[in-house]
Amino acid sequence: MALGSDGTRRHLRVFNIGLNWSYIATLNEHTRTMADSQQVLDSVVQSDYKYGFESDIEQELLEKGLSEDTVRFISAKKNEPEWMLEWRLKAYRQWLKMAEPQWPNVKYPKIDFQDIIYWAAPKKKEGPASLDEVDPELLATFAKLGIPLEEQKMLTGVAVDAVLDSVSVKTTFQEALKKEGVIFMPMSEAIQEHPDLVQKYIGSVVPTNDNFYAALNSAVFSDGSFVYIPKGVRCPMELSTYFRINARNTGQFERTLIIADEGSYVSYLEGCTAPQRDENQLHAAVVELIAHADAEIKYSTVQNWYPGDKDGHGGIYNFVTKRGICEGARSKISWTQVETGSAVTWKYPSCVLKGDDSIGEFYSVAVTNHHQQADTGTKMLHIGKNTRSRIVSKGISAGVSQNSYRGLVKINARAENARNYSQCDSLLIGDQCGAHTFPYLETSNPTATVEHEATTSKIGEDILFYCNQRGIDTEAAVALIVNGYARDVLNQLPMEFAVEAQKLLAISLEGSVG
Amino acid sequence: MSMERFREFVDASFFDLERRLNGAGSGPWHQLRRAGHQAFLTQGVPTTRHEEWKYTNVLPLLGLTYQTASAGSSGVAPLNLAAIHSLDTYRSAMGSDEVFLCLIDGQYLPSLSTEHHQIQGLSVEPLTDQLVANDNDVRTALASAAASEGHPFVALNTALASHGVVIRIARGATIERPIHVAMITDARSSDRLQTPRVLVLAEESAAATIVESYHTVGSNGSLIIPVTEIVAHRQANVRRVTIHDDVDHARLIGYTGARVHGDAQVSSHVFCLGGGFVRNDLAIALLEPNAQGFLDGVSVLAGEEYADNHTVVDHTVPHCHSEELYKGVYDGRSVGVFNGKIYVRPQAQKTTAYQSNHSLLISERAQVNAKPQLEIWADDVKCSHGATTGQLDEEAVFYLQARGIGKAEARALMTYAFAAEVVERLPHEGLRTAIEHRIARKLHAEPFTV
Repeated sequence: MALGSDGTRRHLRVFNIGLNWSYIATLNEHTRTMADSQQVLDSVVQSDYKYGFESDIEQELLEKGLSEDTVRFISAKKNEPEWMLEWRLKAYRQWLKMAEPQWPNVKYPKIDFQDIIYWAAPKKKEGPASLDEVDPELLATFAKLGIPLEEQKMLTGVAVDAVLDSVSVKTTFQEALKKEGVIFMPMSEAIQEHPDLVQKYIGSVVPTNDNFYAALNSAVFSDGSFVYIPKGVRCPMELSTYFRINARNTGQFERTLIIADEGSYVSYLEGCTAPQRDENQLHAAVVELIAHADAEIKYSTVQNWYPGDKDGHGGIYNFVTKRGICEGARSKISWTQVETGSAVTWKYPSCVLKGDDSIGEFYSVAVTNHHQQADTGTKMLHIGKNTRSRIVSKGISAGVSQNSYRGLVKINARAENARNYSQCDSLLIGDQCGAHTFPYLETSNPTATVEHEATTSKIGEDILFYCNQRGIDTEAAVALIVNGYARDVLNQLPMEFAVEAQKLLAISLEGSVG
Repeated sequence: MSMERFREFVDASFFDLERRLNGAGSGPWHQLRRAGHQAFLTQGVPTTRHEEWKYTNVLPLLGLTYQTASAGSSGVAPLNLAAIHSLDTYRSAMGSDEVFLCLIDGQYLPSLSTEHHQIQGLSVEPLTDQLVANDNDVRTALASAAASEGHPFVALNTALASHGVVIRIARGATIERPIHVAMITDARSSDRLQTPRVLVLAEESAAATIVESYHTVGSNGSLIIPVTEIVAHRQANVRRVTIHDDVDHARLIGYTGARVHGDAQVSSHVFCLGGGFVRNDLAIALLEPNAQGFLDGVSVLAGEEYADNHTVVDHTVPHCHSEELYKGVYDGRSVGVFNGKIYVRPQAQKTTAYQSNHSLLISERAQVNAKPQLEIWADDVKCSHGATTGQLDEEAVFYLQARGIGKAEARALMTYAFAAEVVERLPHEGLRTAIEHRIARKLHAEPFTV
C-alpha cells in the first residue's frame, strides 16, 4: 500500500469523516467535515458492539419447530394463494432430503432446526395509515437504529422499506415510485397484488432445491422486498431496506426479488443491525435479481449483524444465497458488499451472465475480528458472448478470526470473448488469524481471457512507523490504512453507505492492535 | 470393472501378496502395507464429489481387468528397451551422463541398469522387506513423506508395493550425472496395474538430480500408480525432473512427497508432454528454517490427453521460501487441471510463497480448470498467486506476420515461447534440448534454441 503525501491526505480526510458520522448518516451531517479529535479517540476506545439493544414490542410467536404444519401456518397467516403454499411445501419436501453443506471453511455448533421459531410478527393494530398510528415502541426502535423515516424522506430522498423482524412495517415514497410505475413493496403484499409477476420470477434464479438454506428459506420465508422496475424507467431514488432481527430465537428468512425490465435501472441498498444477545441466531436469506436487456441492477449491502462477543459467544449465523441473472443482452448486475458483522458468514453473491455483452461485478470488503468466521466470494457464470466480469475482494482478518474468499469463474464453451478479472487481497492483523483463498477458474473457450491474482500480507511495520512518526497512533493508523486498502470497494457504494461502511471498518477492528 | 470390482481386485492382490511374503509378513514394511490397505478401504475410490478430485474422474480408469506383475508373470519375450521410442529419446538426450535405473513393473533390475558402484557417494539398492527391516534410515523414511491417510492412491500404492528402489546420496556428495529412474509397464499380455515405490535419501549437504519417466509397452491397458518420497536433510539440494511422455492408452496416478530440512532445497520440474491420462500430486513440506521449494511445470497437450497437476507446499516453520510456476498449452480436446495449494501454518512467520499459473487454450474443444489456493494461518507473510487463461496476443502475431513469418508459424512460435519459459529452467542441457524439440514437434513449430 503506497502512501504518497497526496494519498495520505486523502485517506486522512476520509478517515475523519468516517469516525464523526452517526451510524446512519444523513445529509446534513455530511456537511460537517471537520473532525473533533477527542471524539475520534472516544469512539475508537470503545470496542464493544455498539448497536446491541432489544426492544420490547409484543410479538406474535409460533411454537418452536418445523413441520409441514409450520409451512401451512405461515402461508395461511399471510393469506397466500394455493400456488404459493404448494411452492413452499415442495421446497420443504426437498429440504428434508438435503444435507447441510460441509465444504465451507467455517466451524460452528450443529444447528437444531427444530429449536427455531419460524414465525414472529410485530403485533398488528388496526392498519396504521400514518406514522402517528404506528406502535410508538416501534418508532422508538427506529429512532435508536437511526432510521428517522420522516427526516430521511426530506434529506436523502431514500425510500425506506423497514423490516422489523418479519413483517414490513412502513413503506415510504410509494407515491413517487408509483408515478414511474415502480413497484416496491413487501413480498407478502406483492404476492397478493402482483401474483403473476411473483409467480413468474420467484425461484427462477435460485431454485427451491438450489442448496440446503435456500430450500429452507423457500419453505418458511416470512417476508422481504419485491421490486419491479418497468421498461425504460430509471428508478428515481435509491431503494433501501433495513433488516433487523428482533425477537429472541427467531431465525429470520427474508426473500428479496428484484426485476429490472428492459432498459431500466435500479440501485438497491440493504443494511443490517441486530440487538445483542447470547444465543446464536440463524439468518438464511435469499435474494434474486433479474436484469432484462439493457437493464442494470446495483445491489449494495452493509452487513453488521451481531458478531458475538470477544470470546466467540453468540452472534448471528449468516447463510445467504444471493444470485442475479443478466437475462437480456447488455444487461448489468453489480454486487457491492461490506461485511463486518455475524459470527459465521457464508455468502456468495453470484451473476449468471446469460445475455450477450452482459456484465457482472462483485466488490467486497469482509472484515473479521475476534472469533468471527467468514467464507464469502462470488460466482461468475459466463454463458453469453462478450460477457465481462470483474471481482474485487478485500479480506481483512484480525484477532483469532478466519476469513476465506471462495469464488468460481466459469467460462462456458459458447461464451465467445468472455473476459474476467479477479483480484483477491487479504490483510492480516495479528498473528492468530487466518486468510484463505479458494478460487476456481474453469475455462472451456479459447477466446476467453481470465485473470486472477491474490496477495496476502500484513500491514507493513514501515507504514505504521511512518504514521506514528506523524502523530497518528497505531490504532488510528490501522483504521486509516484499512480504509485506503478497501477504497476500491467503498468507492462503489452509494454515498450514504460509503460513509457508514468506513465507520464500521474502523469500529470492527478496534482493539485488534496494541 | 466397477468401483466394487476394483476394490475386490485390490483386496485379492493384497492378500495374494501377503501369502507370498512368507516370513516377512510381520516385518515393518508389511505393517505399512496393512495400514495402507485399511486406509484404501476406508477412503475408497474418490469420485468427483471429493474436493481433491472435483475435475478428475478416475472411474473410467478402473474399468479394465488389471493384473499385477506378480499375478501375471507373462513368460513372453524379454523387453527390448531400445525399441521403446520415448525412453530411447530421453536416454540419448542424457547420453553418457545418464545413470540409468530400470524398473520393470516396479522391480529394480540392476542387470539392465548402469553400473553405478564406481560413482562416489551414490548408493542404489532394491527396496525389499529385508532392507526396510534392517536399515534404520530406510525404515524411518518410508511412508514419512507420503501418508496413506490423506490420499487413496498413496494408500493403494502402499498396500500393493512389493518392489522399488532406494537412492541414497552420501553426506557432502554431489552427483553431477542425472539419475534416470525409468518405470516401464509391460502390458503386452494383459491390462497391467503397477505400484512402484521410490525412496530418495539425500544426506546432509548432498546434491543430485533425479529424472523419472514412465513408459508402457504393449497395446493392453496400463495404470501406473507410482509413489516417490524424497527426504532432503540439512543443506541438501535435490532436483527432480518428471517426464510424462507415454503412449495414448497409458494412465498414471502419481504422488511425490518431499520433506525438506533446514537450508535444504528441493526443485521439481514436471513435464506433461504425452500419455492419455496423467494425475500428478506433488507435496513439499518445508520443515526447518530456510528450507526452500521450487515447483515448475509445463503441460503441452493435444488430442484427448488429460493432465491434472495437484501441488501442495506446506510451510510449517518460519523463514521458508517457495516459488511455483505452472504453464499449460491445450490443443485438440485435451483437458488440463491445475490445483495449487500454499499452506502457511500459524507458526510459520516470515514466509514468502509465490505461485503462478498460466494457460493457453488453442482449440475450441480444449478445457482448463485452475484452482490456486492460499491458506494462510500466520500474519507476517508475503504470499501471492496469479492465474490466467487466455489466448495469443494477436498484435504480436501480426508483428511477426509483418516480418514475413506465416500466420501458422507465427502462432506456433509464440506458443512455443510461452512454454519455453519453464523449460529453460532445466539445468541439464541435453535433456532441455530434447524437451524443447518434443514441445516444438507437438506444436508443429521449429525449435528455437538460442
